[in-house]
Amino acid sequence: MASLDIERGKSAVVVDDSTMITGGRLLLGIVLLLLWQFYPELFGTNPFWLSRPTLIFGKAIELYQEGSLLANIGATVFETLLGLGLGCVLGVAIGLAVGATRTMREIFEPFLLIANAFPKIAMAPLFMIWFGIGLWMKVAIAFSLVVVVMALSTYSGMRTIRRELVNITRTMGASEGQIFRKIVLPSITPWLFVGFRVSLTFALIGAVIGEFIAAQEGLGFMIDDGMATFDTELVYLALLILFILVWCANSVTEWIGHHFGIGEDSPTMAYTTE
Amino acid sequence: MNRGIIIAIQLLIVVSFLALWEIGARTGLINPEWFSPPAEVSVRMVRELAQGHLWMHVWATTVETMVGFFFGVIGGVAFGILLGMTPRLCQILMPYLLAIYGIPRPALAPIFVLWFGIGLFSKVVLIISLVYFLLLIYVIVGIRAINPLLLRFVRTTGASRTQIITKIVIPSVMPYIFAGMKLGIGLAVVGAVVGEIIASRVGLGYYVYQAAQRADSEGVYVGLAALGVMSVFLVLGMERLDRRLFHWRQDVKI
Repeated sequence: MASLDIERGKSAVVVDDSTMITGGRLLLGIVLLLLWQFYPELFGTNPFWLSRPTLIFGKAIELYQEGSLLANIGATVFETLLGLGLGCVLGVAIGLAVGATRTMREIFEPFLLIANAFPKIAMAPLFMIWFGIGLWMKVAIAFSLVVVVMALSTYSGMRTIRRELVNITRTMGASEGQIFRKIVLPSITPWLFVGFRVSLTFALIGAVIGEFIAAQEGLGFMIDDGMATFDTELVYLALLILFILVWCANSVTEWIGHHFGIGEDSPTMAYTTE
Repeated sequence: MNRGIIIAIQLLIVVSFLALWEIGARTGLINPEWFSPPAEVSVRMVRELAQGHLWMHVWATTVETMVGFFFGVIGGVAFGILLGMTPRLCQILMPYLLAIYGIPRPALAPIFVLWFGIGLFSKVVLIISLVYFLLLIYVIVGIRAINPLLLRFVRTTGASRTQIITKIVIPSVMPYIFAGMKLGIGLAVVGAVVGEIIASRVGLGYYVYQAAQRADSEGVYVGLAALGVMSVFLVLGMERLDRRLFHWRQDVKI
């Protein structure tokens, strides 16, 4: 889930027939879209299974006019951002603390790795017991996913800081605040950035899974509701919106990365699981 | 610091955490209905293990994880090599593959239930959707990283396509495959659990969810502990295998 700049690879296996490639991509896109629209006529299947673009679009207009579409999107986005914000604050704090000294690293690294290997999403039912079925249950799920990713990426960044650099600056009389601002922060920024990008998607997934379990609004609720009433247009509409949200979030962070030159030599999130 | 002291401190942290939890729950400082005392959880754990209920769920989750992981890896590697060796096709498909990779796939779980029912198959498909694209992208990146001069050289010496694939491509992408597998095994467990929470009749995700529905927090902790042991075992085992096989390479960058 690191940045995937496969397109710009410089290797002999990359050919540059730009017209053919763009044409191929467009053609494939159009064929797929047409297939999606007309597969019931072509194969005689029931449009129930995959719905159709026009039906989904019609559903979107209908729900938009009714006012529930934006309310549901807003609910999910709100839960996501709350979980993301809280998770980032605590995660970065943990990462900084664990990465601070060698002793701290040696003591707490195994705990971080185990937390990372644990499938946090399974704690969703536990959060249901703790927080009920309201807003905070979803926030807690998003939070639990984000906090581990951010702690681990901050910690990985801290590990790349060169000890001698810190020692030299300290000998030259730099204060702890100066060391943090001039050495620690610049070293961990790319890691924070990558962690944040992963966290965005994770927080959204967490919120949606929470809504699957119990909700009265949100995109996960739309999916659940659509499943319960066999209204597949609703399900695919919600999934489509979810996809667009992820895509927008990724594009924005990618733009920020390029603009400020952060993600350039982006480090790998070598081991993160949801 | 001394290795022994470190381990002692780590044990101390775990023990005092459990002790505080136990005391807190017993004295009512923390709500025992939310935080069942560890002693009772372990008693329940032993009982469930002895009666054999829990094994069935552990087994179900393990089977889903391993089957999905296996087919996801095989498919991802095979299609990845195919795409890596046909650059034009690869470039045409790439935006679509990255788009699919960008879909938050755990959210697709209900769709897979709709298509494939609530049995093993829908979980396996969810896991494959997670693992397959991960491996695919790792393999393509791995093939891109092969020194082009090497490929050109063996081509001039008259190597066939099969020879190039078996002698150069597969050995070169092995570290990438394992890097992808290291991530993929964790995703596979997540996929299994999400699938089981959404709709299932067996498995640890189902076990935890059912316990929560009955407000049986003891059962929730038992399920989470079993799941924790299982996934930590799988993930750290995979990591260890990777380190043993490819200790000579630097971290694979993607």
